[in-house]
Amino acid sequence: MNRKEEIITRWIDGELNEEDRAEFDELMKDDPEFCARGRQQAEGIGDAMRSEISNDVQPPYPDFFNSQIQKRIRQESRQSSATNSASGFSVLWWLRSPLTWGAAALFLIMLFSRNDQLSSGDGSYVVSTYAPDPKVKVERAEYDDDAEATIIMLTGLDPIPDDVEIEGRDITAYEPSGSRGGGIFYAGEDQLVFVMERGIEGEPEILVR
Amino acid sequence: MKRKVLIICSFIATLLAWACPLANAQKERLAESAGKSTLNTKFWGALVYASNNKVGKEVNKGLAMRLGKAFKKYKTFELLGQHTQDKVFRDYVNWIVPSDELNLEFESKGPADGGGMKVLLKLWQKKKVLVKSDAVIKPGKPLFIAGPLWRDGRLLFVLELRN
Repeated sequence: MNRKEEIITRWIDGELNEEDRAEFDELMKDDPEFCARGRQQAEGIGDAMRSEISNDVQPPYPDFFNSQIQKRIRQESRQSSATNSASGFSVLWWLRSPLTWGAAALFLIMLFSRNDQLSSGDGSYVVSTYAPDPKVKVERAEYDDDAEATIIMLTGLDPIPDDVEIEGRDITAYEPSGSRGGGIFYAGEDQLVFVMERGIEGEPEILVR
Repeated sequence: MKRKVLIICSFIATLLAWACPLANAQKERLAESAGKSTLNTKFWGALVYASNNKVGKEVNKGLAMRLGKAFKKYKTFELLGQHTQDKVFRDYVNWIVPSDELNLEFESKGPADGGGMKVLLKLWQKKKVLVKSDAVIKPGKPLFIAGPLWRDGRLLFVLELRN
């Protein structure tokens, strides 16, 4: 069977796909006689079969034949419902799916655990740090669970000479003074300890009493 | 397929619409409680000398334990000076000056979500800024800043928010 005959046979059997259909249309245009002849022959074969085989003759193995047809129908119907369900999508199917509820539960857990973190918190924390001196490095700035404290570790600082005396105070109150952020520092019962002024560049100038 | 995406989006939007007001309400309650927690709070700052020598006035045991865990190299923590400040001015410059060697300039930026205070810190050593930091300080959770080495140890600055 050549390609032309194949196309005609498929047309008679109603099995033309889109590609075949285009080819068949082309064939009809170019050689309509061939198509008509093919059709005539096919109809002739049908007529010959009908005349030879009686209508009331049972097909061989009728039960098997029927069961095969039913099987084919069930298969096609299953394929069709699968296609419908994929394209049509059932809301109920999604609501029934444990995955949907799992995802929803996960979302809510994430949402509330975030708020829980806000409410309980891990402790003080550092948002940002900056050391203006390029020699100085902020080696660490984080909350330490063990110490229950936030630690800012500076390295590269110049050591304070041993002969420098560092005198600490016990300050109990501070009052701002002036417009540049200076202040007066008190200890105990209004005992004045420090007076602070700000320098030109904002640096503190502490006058010790 | 479009319908599927549309329904998933609607489902997520419904969840968000339901959950967001809850989250916001919770957040508002937190902010409210944080606002209340700043009442009657005070800042306490200290200059501490960490070393392995015998020292005079040590910091209290609780703080010494925490400092020991944070700075494992040192065994003793001497309290050189301290400053308790119960009047903190919001958005104004405040100072914690336990000594004239190291002092802390800070600005309170009000209560933080989840409690504590937002602060902008600037640690000075005399006329030099050692570090600037943007932090949240919570009551009972101090901030330790490791400063310069001095003699056989190191100077530490401690900042704590106290109720």
